[in-house]
Amino acid sequence: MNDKKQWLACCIEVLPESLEMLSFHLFELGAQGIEEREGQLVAYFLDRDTNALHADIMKLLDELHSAKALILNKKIEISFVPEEDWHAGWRKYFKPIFIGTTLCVLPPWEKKDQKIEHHLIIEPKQAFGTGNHATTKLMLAAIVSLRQSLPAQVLDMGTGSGILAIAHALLKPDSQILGVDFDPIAIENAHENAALNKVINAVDFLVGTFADVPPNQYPLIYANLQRHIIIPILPDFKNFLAPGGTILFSGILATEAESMHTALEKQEFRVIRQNQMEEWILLEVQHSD
Amino acid sequence: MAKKIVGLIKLQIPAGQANPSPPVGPALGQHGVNIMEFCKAFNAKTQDKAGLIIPVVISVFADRSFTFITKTPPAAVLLKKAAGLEKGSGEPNRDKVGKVTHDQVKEIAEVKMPDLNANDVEAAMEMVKGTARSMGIVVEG
Repeated sequence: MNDKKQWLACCIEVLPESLEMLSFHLFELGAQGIEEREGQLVAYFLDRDTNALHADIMKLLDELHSAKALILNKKIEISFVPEEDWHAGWRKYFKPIFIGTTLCVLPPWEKKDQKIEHHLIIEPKQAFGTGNHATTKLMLAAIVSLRQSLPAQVLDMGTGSGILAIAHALLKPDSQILGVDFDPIAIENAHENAALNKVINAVDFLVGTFADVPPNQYPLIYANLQRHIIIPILPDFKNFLAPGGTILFSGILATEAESMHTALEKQEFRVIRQNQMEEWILLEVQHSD
Repeated sequence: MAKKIVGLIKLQIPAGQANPSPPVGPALGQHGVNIMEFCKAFNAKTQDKAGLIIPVVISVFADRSFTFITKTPPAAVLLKKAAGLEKGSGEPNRDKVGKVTHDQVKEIAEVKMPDLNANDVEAAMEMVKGTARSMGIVVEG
């Protein structure tokens, strides 16, 4: 006996003003859910006869059209949706990311490579920092390049999934790292990832902004944030940076490099290093004090 | 973090009932979004709205992390509830299946205001009245 579910996708062209109304009637006809696309609405029906469904929908559209309830051109298309393992399908997009042979970022279901020194496990959830983005890779590469001189105290502003804080903790286990993010969901993910990597004693996470960070001066600060977020808070970075300390900024587009350099100079920061990957740059900076 | 939106997914799903089947699975799967994580978060956020259809907009970032916002239920769903109906009219031109008052229309318009392209409550009420007509619901008063 074949107990596979049979899904039908019904695609209807629709104007924005008619979208909500048509959606309502499609749910009344038994739609299980609807996806809104550009100028289209796709309603999903379960275990229905294609011809009967087509007839039901045409009757509905005729009636709504004659009642002047909808403006549409009554063009509909019904197709089968092949059954697949949707639960697992998304996982194929997450593969191990290697930073030389020192560090490998991987999701929990991937096998560890014994040739790699440190494995950083990230469960891809809502928080930014799955490891797949160029800005994260730039930061991880910079952290690895500094591994011989990594300090024991670090601040990670905009920690997201906690990936940079955890990388630091793996490379320098006796550290105390504070990760900060204004998004409580990100902080929840960061805690989970810290536990997955067994570094909960080395990292602490805080929901908030600079205003919520206890006064301290850090020899190293990570900030994978966008330029428009970084520039207004450059004075805060200066206040939380220990004399002679270093900040790693990423999240800056290469096209924004000039304006970022100008903003840094105004606050008396000097750029020690600039790296680029795809359209993004990383800046390693120190303060002139 | 350096968030850059690379995909916007707009769905309508029953509150508290998101699961990996269509439309959630195919729509999120092709963007590499953690489907179960979305389902858990959506169901937790909408569990107190059982029986309502909830529009949801999912933003997918460049590293396939995501966020989502839920919107107000469709006006038609709120009208159906206000009129105490099981179903809207299949033939709204001929069959009038229920009634709502002017005040109920105003109440629904106020709930819908954040998501409607309307300058004021009066304009939003006109939209709600149009929806009522198309459902075979008469607005009294």
